[in-house]
This record gives sequence, structure tokens and C-alpha cells, in this order.
Amino acid sequence: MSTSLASGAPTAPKAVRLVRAADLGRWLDALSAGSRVWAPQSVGGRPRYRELTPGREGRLDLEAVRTVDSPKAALLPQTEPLLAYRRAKDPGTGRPSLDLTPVPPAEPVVLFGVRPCDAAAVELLDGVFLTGDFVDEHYKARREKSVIVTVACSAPDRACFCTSFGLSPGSTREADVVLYGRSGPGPKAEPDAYYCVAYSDRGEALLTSEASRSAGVVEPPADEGQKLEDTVAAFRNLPTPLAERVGRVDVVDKLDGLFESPYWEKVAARCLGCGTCTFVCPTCFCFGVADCAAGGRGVRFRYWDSCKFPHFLRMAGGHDPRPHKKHRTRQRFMHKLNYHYHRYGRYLCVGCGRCVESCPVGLHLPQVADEVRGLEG
Amino acid sequence: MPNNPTLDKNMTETETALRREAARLLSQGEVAVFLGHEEGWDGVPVPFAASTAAEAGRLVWNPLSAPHLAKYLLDRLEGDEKVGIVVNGCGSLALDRILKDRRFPRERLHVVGIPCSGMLDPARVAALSDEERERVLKDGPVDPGLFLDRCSWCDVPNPVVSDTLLSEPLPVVRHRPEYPRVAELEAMDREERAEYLRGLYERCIRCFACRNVCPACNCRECCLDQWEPLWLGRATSPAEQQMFHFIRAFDVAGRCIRCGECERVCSVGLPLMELNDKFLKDITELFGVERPHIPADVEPLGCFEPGDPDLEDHG
Repeated sequence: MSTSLASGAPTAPKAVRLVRAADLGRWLDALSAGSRVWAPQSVGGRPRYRELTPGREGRLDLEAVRTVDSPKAALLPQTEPLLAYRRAKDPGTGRPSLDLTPVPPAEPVVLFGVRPCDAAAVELLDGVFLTGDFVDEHYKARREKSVIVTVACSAPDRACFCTSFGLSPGSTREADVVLYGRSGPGPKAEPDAYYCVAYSDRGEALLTSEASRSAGVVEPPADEGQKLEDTVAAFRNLPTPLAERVGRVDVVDKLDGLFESPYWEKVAARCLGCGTCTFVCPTCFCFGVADCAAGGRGVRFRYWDSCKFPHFLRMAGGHDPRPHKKHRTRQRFMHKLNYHYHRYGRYLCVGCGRCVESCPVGLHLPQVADEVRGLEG
Repeated sequence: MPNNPTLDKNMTETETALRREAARLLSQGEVAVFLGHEEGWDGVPVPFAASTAAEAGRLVWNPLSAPHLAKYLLDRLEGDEKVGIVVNGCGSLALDRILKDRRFPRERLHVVGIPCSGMLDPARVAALSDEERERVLKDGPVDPGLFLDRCSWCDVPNPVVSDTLLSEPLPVVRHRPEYPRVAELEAMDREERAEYLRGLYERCIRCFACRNVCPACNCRECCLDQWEPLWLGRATSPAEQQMFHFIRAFDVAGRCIRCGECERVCSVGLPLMELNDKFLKDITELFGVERPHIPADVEPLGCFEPGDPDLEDHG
């Protein structure tokens, strides 16, 4: 896990292995013995990113371009208990008190088959939850016990634009291990095997573990060194279709002067006001905290909230600083393309294309990023 | 008897007429804003609010102009400006739902109606190859499976509310609605059905797109947003997920127009219309209303009859 937000050049591989596609299931089973394992799966006909649970509906789907939901839920669950409490009496004074029970410690988790953009998104989440004055203990505990295994993208689709943010279909950012299809990128690539390259100590430990070895994760043939290098380079140099249209996104200065632009009314007029974009986004991290309590005991938990929801900012007493859809829509795009940049030196977007694909009314970040360039202000 | 949707061959002319009419309404000050569609980034029409005659030139009307627009009226409740809106047959049912629920004043509306013989499902068309898509959108022929589900039972080709009609009304063939997707749900026993629905709702990400797009979900404040009382806990536990969907299904029961917009916008592909269809079918069987998805002045779940035979059972 990097605590620095500087974007580093790809680090040198620490270990290289090869796994046949036919052995992936076996490998996942082996990893499941020591960790919780999350992986892209087909559920109800849609690619989803979820925990592998024996008996639950779902079929491993490593070649889906993108899952509907991002892997962020493995590190920042949609609903996450923070503590449990029970009303009690202080035995000494007889006064009412509360017994607090902390939640159990986080378990090790392998995030398998993550796309490079989604792994890069974890770096942005790390910035929010692990740097600055406040370190989020719950996030930190999960993050420290996580290993990220990404799979380089063979065929970025028309919603992909990671290269607009300086990433690539072969990005190694925040990846402990990267799987590269041995046959290289291509529109109908169905690799029969993957090169597995570890870029961190954690990744090396996972690749060289007995569990992995016994599941068919083996040394690649000695004469494939050059082929591996060429394959890695091919993934890294692969263009992304939507970025061809959007170009490099760098609009922070432009947006400085556009807070009051009538443009936001146009955007709001189309927005449905649902939370789809924020919930499928790998970098949206806003949450609320609530209690579920009855009969003198309860659980305090946090839950994903969305700046698109009308009650997101409503305060006790009823005041809402963002009463209109215009304010809320503007907030999301300004946060991603301006505020976050000012605070962390990074745009809060990795070009995964989920908002492009999932927004019910086709209102998405690349379009807004492109349109604001042409606005006056 | 199912409907046999087709694509209107004169959509280009209709689009020209739509732009002209919207530009006229805006330039003559008859409306302050006109709700229609413009071409989205990937060519698929997206909702658009034109506020000048020049902007009216961006309006589109084509086989993918599927998204309904009436729900956007609720964003414009403040003020007394007149609003223009374009509707086809089913779009007018969405509008009529909001009017019958008295959520927007009819006198603030200018409704431009377009008779419609069918609209394609943007997601199904997006899944085609580039060449197939071009062929389909250009001159067909079109596989019936590419149309929106709602077109396959539609018998309201002509808008039920309109001030201006842009083309001649189409012939109407009435048919009794069928609910093929309900049979499986009804065939399950209680435990099977509970298990089935739990499995469905567990896939929900609680984004509220279904509620936000639904023309029958038009309450001033949605109970699902309220904190006091807290009808819906914020945790995405199996129980809360079920509460979310059951509350929504029961709240729109008797007012659902069967447009299926909830399914169209669901990013995880939940078959949300199954339960809505079940309620519609029940209304027909229990109250003898043959087309319960058509908004009416008197609706079985929205009125009180002193002579209601059920009253005897309850003293």
C-alpha cells in the first residue's frame, strides 16, 4: 500500500509465475482457505464484483470488461458496523451506562481479478482514509489485510477512458499482482494462460505461497522472458476508446471559475437524482452513520450515502445547504474534477466507465469534463 | 392478443415538426422551457430541457426516444412558468399519472403529442454490432425482440393527453393485457417465493433509480427518505432490501402504468415488473378492471364506495 500519492513508474517485478486459465478456479479455492476472496462474477446475467461464497449464485467472469459494481465494497462495505452497544447499569454507582462492543477485527481479503483502473482507485481511497489528520481505523484494518490481484484489460470498450487520467489497461498502480493474458491484448482474447507478476512483497508472498504453487501457479518457461516483456508493454500501450474522444482530462483551473455557471442547470435538468453513478463509482466514498437499535441494544454502522440524494446534507432543524438538484449535481462533478484536486493533487476519477455505462440518462463524467472546456468563465 | 410494434417510417418528418413546434412555443413565450430529448454522447436520445428556440433545434425524435419525461415536471413545481413537453402514447400515460395524482397543474402544461407504433430498447440496440445497428435504425426490418417490452402489449399508440398532435392518430386495437411473467411467481409456494425474492433483492445496490424514474412514485416526500419515522433502515440487510422493494411495489400498486422504466434504469437488471404485474393482474381479477395500468378518474385502489361488499365483513 502506498502512503505517498505521487504516481510512481512501474516498480520492478518481484516474482513472475504462470497460471493456466483452466486452473483459476483451483487457485481461487486455494486462496479461499486462508482469506476471504472477492472476484468478478456473473450474477443474474450481470457482471458483479462480490465475495466468492460457496453456494451463492455467481460464476467467475474474469474477462468481463467491467463489473457493474466496483471492488470498493471489499474495503468500504456498503453497510459496515462500527460498534455494538447495550444499555447497562454502572455496578458501582447504579447509574445508567453503555456497554460498548467493538466490531471483530478485519479478516484477510484477496481482491481478485480487479481491473487496473479500479486498483488505481484504491490509491485515491487510501488518500482519503489514510492520509491527513484523521486515519480511518476501520478502512485501515481492512486495507492492511488486503492483497490486490489485477487483471490487465485485453479489450477496453467504448466506455473506457483510463488513459485520460494517465493510467493504462496495464497499469500496476496499487496492484500487488497483475495477471497479463499470455496471448496479449485483443478484442476476442480468451487467454489460455496468464502471466502473474508480483509488484509488492505481499504479491510475492501470495504468488510464491504453497497454496498458489499447489493450485498450478508455476514458474513460466525460462525462454519466455522477452515474450512477457512484450506482452506487458502491449497492455500498457493499449489505447482506450473513449479517451480518444475526451483526451487528457485536466480541467481543474477551468472549473475554478465555473461554480456559478448556468451550465449546471442544464446538467441538473437531465439528472434523475438517483445514486447510481455514486454507488457504482470506484472512487466515490461518502458515507452516513446511523444506528439500528431496539430493546436497549443496538449497532452503529456506516452506509454508503450519495451527494445526489436530496437528504444528503440536510441538517437537524431542516436546513439543507444544497436544496436543489443543480447544487447536488454540481457538487459531484466539482468534487471529482476540482475540489479533490485542490486537496489531494489528484482527480477523483480513474476512467473506469461505470457512470458512462450505468447512468440511466447518459449523464456522465467524461462528457461533463469535455463540455466544461468549452464554457465561458 | 399481443401487439405487433413497428417503427414509424416518418420519424424524420415528425422530428422536424417537433423542433418547429417547440421553437414556436418558446419564441412566442407560450412556454418557458420545453422537455424533450437530445442526442446523447453515444447517439442515444437523453432527456433535455430546451429553453430557447435555438435549443429547440437540438431536439430529436427517433426509434430510441424511449425515456419518459413527465417525471421531470416535479423538478419544476416552483414558480408558475408554463412547461412544454413531448409525449407519445405511453409517455402520455406517465404524464396522466402525474396529472391524475394532482402533482402538476394541467394549466401550466403545453403537451405536444406524437402517435407512436413502437420504440426500441436502447440497451438491446446497443448490444448489436455497428452494422446491424445502422441497418436497424436506418430502414429495418426490426426484430420484434428489439422493441421495449412495453411495446409488446401497448394499445395506447395515441397520446391520451395532448394540446398539439404532430401526426394523424393511429388505429387502435384494444386487447386484454396478459401477464406471462407472473405465472412463475404464482406457481411458487410461499417459501420458494420468499427465497426467490430474497435472492433478487440481495442484488439491489439501493441507488433509487427505479423510484426516481417511476411516474407513480411522485410523493412530495418519499417515505423511503424519511428519518422520523424511519420506514427504511439505511443498512443493506436482506430485511431492509425486501422492505425497500415491497414498500415501493405496494405504494405504486393500482397506479403503475406498466411502462417498465424501473427495469430499464436498473443497473443490476432486476425484473422489477414481475411484482408490479402481479398486482395489476390481481386488480383485474379482484375488481374487474380490464386495463388497470391506464390512469382513470376512479381507480379501484384509490376510491371509496359506500356500497363496497367488503364493508359487510368489517361491520
